[in-house]
Amino acid sequence: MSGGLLAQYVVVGLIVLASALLAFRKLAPQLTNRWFAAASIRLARPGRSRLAHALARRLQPKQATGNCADGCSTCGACGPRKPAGAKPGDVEAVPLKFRPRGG
Amino acid sequence: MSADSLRIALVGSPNCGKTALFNQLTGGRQKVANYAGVTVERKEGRFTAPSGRMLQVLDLPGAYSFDAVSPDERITRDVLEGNYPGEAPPDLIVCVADATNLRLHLRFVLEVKRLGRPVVLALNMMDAARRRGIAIDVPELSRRLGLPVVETVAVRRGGAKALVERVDGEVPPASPVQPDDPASRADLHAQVRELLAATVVMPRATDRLDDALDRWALHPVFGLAILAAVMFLVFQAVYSVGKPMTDAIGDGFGWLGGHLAVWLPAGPLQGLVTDGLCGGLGTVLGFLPEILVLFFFILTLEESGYLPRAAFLLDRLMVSVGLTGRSFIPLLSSFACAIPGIMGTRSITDPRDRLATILVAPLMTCSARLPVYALLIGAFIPARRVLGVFNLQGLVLFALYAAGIAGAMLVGWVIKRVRRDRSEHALLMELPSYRLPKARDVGIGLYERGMIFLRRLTGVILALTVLMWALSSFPAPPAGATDPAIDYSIAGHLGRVLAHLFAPIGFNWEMSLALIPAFAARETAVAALATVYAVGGESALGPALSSHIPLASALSLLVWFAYAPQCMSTLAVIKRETDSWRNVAISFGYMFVMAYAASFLVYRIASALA
Repeated sequence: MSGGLLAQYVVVGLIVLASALLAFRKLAPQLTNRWFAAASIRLARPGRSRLAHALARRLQPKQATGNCADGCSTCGACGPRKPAGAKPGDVEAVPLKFRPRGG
Repeated sequence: MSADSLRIALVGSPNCGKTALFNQLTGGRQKVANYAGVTVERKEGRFTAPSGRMLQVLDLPGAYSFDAVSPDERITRDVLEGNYPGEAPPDLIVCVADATNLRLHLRFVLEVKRLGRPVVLALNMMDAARRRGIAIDVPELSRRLGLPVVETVAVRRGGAKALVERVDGEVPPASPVQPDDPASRADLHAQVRELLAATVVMPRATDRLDDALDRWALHPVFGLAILAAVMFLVFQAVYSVGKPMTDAIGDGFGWLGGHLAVWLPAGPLQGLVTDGLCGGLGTVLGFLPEILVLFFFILTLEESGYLPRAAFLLDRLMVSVGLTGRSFIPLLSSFACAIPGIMGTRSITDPRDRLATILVAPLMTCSARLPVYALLIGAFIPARRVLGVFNLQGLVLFALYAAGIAGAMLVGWVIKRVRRDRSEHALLMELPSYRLPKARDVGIGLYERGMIFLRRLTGVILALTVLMWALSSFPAPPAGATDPAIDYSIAGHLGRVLAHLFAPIGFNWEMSLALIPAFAARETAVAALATVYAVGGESALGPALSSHIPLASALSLLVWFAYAPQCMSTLAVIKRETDSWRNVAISFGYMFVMAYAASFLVYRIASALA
């Protein structure tokens, strides 16, 4: 395999990896945020290198600010966050039950 | 409250112009339209007043009173009363009232005043009031209410100047808190009548032009005919206006791909750029003009004030199938995307009606499905005239949208049959004045929709297209292989496994494979098909489809997309809004069965006829 072709495989591999991460982050934002937060905490432990600390800062999940006016480009991050202290079904999300006849 | 910042809440009855005022103050671009119930969640913005003070502005959903019955009204009540979790009560309430409709809106102003917080009244739409000859004695109104009153025209540049000056000044003193009991609330109506008699001169209760137009638009026969004609023309226009631009973009990417193939050295990078990016992503981008044409009409109708009339006209039909006229606006929003549509159901007061609307909203054809429809219609339906006037492709597109609506009605009817409580709720809806859509608002709306599409395209669709290309390209075929390279790839194997499930409805393995990324974002089905066929050696997607797929299978795929379970984002919002995985399962399950059954029928009938 020539050097040029090898370089192409490396570049394509990185693009595919980045795409997989992006797709996963877009489609399962809460899960990725949890994973990234856990990784960030590990990397930010005292005694770790400066590079690890910098990486930890990058991995720190940002607060979701999207709302549904953004359109359906992501899932999970759509709509306002439930306010702090809200119980499930409070204010924003009203629990709706589907009760078949005679059920 | 601190000396250098102030929290302001914009409140008022629905469709009085709160969000337009919010956008005017903060420079925001929140959605505005000429009907009640556009804002169903609390929005926040900031701006720096001329004095240098930072003003934080909350835009709250409209409410007619504090007897909140729907979830969006509850948000407004709780924020103003200081009961909204995690939110301090506002320092100043700006109560917005439509100056042409004070008889209805002043009652809520009086209710807000009773909270005992500082209040400023903004008389909005003063330009429309003057045009109709409505004279308001503002100083006298202010004196009688005991509140500062300012005039605003939220849709005009600089129309909020008086309000900015007022809120930037000293905060007005709060009125004393008044008891909240049924007797005193009934008294509010008498107070409104008294205020109007003393301060407002109104030549006519309603606008003469509105009455004249409504005689036709709300006529039980002509009104429905006008509505059908309007919707029909919209879909004709999508094809007639959008198609040439779509073709031009497609050709442009084809040309670009050809040149890049020559310029780039042979290898995986060339394949990714030409087959994945130019072939896959470029094909999806080509459908932007058709999406924008559709949204131009939707935004124009929203601005005109016609849509609530359509809701009123369809109420009887909606009730007969287990929905309500109130479902109309959320369902209409679902033509853009099911997510704001599902959020919009917060304005539906009855929880059962709300759930029924949430469950059928994904059946409305969202804009993400338009590229799939446009691709298949362009490839399989001849572009010829019917009766010398109508475009056959436009007719098929109209039929697909109608199929979605018919499906929603069928599901609504079934829900009505199975639920215990079948009581009906009368539709009470405010009909706004007609107005000419403002080119700027429509332009901003189109820009926003275009940007949303491009963000999706360069985000999740790009990522999925690259992944689809990788799955279609690797592993490479073994030495001496005779079949097309893609048959040896992961996508080839995966597609053939899926094809067993979808063979009864006429899907080949490429079509079956395209359904996977489509579950993340509908348009990705186009990119996936384009990538798979490009990797397979085809240069243009349209001809590739018509040569590899029989017409019966194409029709089956069209019907599948009309009813298929919607994207993951939609299911996530159903979970969020109903707080129930069961409802998500019901939504996914019934749509899968419905799509499969409908595709099966179409495929079998079309195959038999062929």
